[in-house]
Amino acid sequence: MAKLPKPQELTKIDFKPPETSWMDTPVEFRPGTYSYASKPESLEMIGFPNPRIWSPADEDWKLPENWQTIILDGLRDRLQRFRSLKVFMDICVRCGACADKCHFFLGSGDPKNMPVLRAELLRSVYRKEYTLAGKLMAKMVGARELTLPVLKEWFYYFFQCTECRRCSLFCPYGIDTAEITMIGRELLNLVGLSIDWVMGPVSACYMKGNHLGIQPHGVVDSFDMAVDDIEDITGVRLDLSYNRKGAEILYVPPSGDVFATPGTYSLMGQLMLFHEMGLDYTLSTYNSEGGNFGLFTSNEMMKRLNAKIYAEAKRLGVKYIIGGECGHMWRVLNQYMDTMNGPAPDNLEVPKSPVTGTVFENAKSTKMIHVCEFTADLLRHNKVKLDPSRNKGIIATYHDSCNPARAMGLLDEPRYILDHCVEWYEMPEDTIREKTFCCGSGAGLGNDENMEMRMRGGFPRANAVKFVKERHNVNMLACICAIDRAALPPLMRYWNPGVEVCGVHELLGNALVMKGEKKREENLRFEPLQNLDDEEEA
Amino acid sequence: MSSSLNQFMREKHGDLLRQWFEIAIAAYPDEAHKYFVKVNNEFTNPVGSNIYRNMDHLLTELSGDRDADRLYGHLEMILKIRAVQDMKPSKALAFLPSFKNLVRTEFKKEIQKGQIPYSELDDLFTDLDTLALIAFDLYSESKELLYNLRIAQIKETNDILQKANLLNEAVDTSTFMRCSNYIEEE
Repeated sequence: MAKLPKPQELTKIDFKPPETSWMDTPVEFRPGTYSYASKPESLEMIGFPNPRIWSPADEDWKLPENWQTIILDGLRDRLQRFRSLKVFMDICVRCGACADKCHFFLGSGDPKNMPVLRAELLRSVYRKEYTLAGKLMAKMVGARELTLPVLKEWFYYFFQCTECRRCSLFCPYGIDTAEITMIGRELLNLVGLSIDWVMGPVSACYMKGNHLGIQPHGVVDSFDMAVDDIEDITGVRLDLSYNRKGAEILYVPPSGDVFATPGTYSLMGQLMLFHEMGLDYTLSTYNSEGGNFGLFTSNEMMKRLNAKIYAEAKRLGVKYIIGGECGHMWRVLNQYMDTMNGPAPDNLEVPKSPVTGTVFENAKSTKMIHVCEFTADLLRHNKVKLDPSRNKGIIATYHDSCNPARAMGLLDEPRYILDHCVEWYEMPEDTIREKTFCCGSGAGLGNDENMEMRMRGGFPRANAVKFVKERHNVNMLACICAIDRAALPPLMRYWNPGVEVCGVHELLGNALVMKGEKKREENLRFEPLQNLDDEEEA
Repeated sequence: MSSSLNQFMREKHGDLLRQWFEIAIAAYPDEAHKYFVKVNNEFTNPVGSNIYRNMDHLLTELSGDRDADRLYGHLEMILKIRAVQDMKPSKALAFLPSFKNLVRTEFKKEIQKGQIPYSELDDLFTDLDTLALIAFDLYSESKELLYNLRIAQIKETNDILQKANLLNEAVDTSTFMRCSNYIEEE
């Protein structure tokens, strides 16, 4: 007869890691903590290998017979092509500076979510295959063979990294651990291992220009809806143009802002501002996506998907490009596009604001600027009439979306916009600007089946929001990333009920005073403005 | 609530809290332990600091008024955290009944000498049982919320696709939201 354990014993049972070394411990795929497998039709669409029906929880992953050779050859090839990867494999001294910087580790306590150990999953195989010490003294130097359990571990943990790069910030050697995840995923893709929430958008984007696979007329419908809503709220009818050759500017938003709330409100704010400034811009129904899930797939796929931006800019003959409030899009644009898809087409010029005359020298090479740069410059030159009292009742805080903050240093412009529009408060120092905590759902992990993992990974961010909520009654979390706007609402509902999520330009749109507008009674969400009570009292 | 047990607990607050917290974070792997004990890092160690702070408040309540609302409030965050950490409820809640053993051990002499009357111990243990039940409610509510968030996201995605006329094709159930062969065969 087995005796019941004492309560204090319960905390320990099977929670301590197994006695085996980290190198020998297989992972368990428990629902809620992994993403569903990619569908065969998505892989077929883009010509990726091994399309089939499978699931991570299955014993048999239906891999090609020579899967080890494929991956090891793939790793060898990449070590030769990417000097950075070779350096990242050899240079880490395991100092531990990155260990407690990952939101997934901080939220779960799972040691393999320490960035150093996540990278070690790949390094251990690298050592075994490509270093003498690894071949001779495998265990002693942390080298191991690429077995099926190791491959499953790669899948589990490389799809538990949001590529947010917070850990990289603290690495004294500058190892970009997100790039290790990227290579890890790239290798997994060689044998048909990816997730639906990445490959679905990738194949849809490849065929139709946006993640949801919405066709050009559907894109127009969505913009039209935004225009109708703006007219209802402001009385001003916007005249949008699509695929217009000869426009000065091509505007590329993330599709999340075109199709889903609360991103649509932020898009409305941007369209209203462009109208008010009399901007000569056009939208593209083919290049209807700034986001690029190729970044979460492989270098080549990222390049293929991003090519449409310059191609469309060339076709339409615009002078420069403005990109919307998107997150990972800006890592691609700011860090890779120049050498990956560049040089920019000849018709593009260094961006120059037609309203203020400011020349954006920082975008001299890519010819593409962030909408927050554009707007902050307008505000700096007093070109925008705002009535911040229309945001009365909203007390905001600002979440630095990982990629604009860490991959392009866009830290002050969004804050400058908020300063002009709304009452807002900073979260604690270690959780903002370059040190910002991820939403926990980036890099393709924002799917519903992964909800438990997302709530875990998002906890450090939510915890900082909780602080300003309790101290300053914050009820709105502003950000500049479409994935954030999809991921943060459930995160807030779980950890901080009552805090809503918005884009920075939604708050600007609320406050924007437009020529010929009717008396504004509602904000962009069709909620009654709270400043009207003050006016009535007056 | 004034009692000799409460008085003893207040005097030993620091010791009790340290041991109790150790029991709670024994649930995490050793590698995490050394980070989670840095409880002063409120924002860079949210799990450890939140659990510690709320256990500190719980202990203050348990050795004081035992106000139901405040106890509930302090429990809530701990259970929310644990509901998303791959923990079964028995492990997530075990720190509550464990407190009984802690009290028995810490105040062994006082109990033997009769300085702490049995009725006070019984009161505390009954309250801890109730707290464990409340904690189970909180854990379950958090899990339910997780599932509801999941459903909400599925509905939102569905609405967007429907609006864009992308739901005309019949859903291929062989690949749609497929979790595992094992579960489906069950």
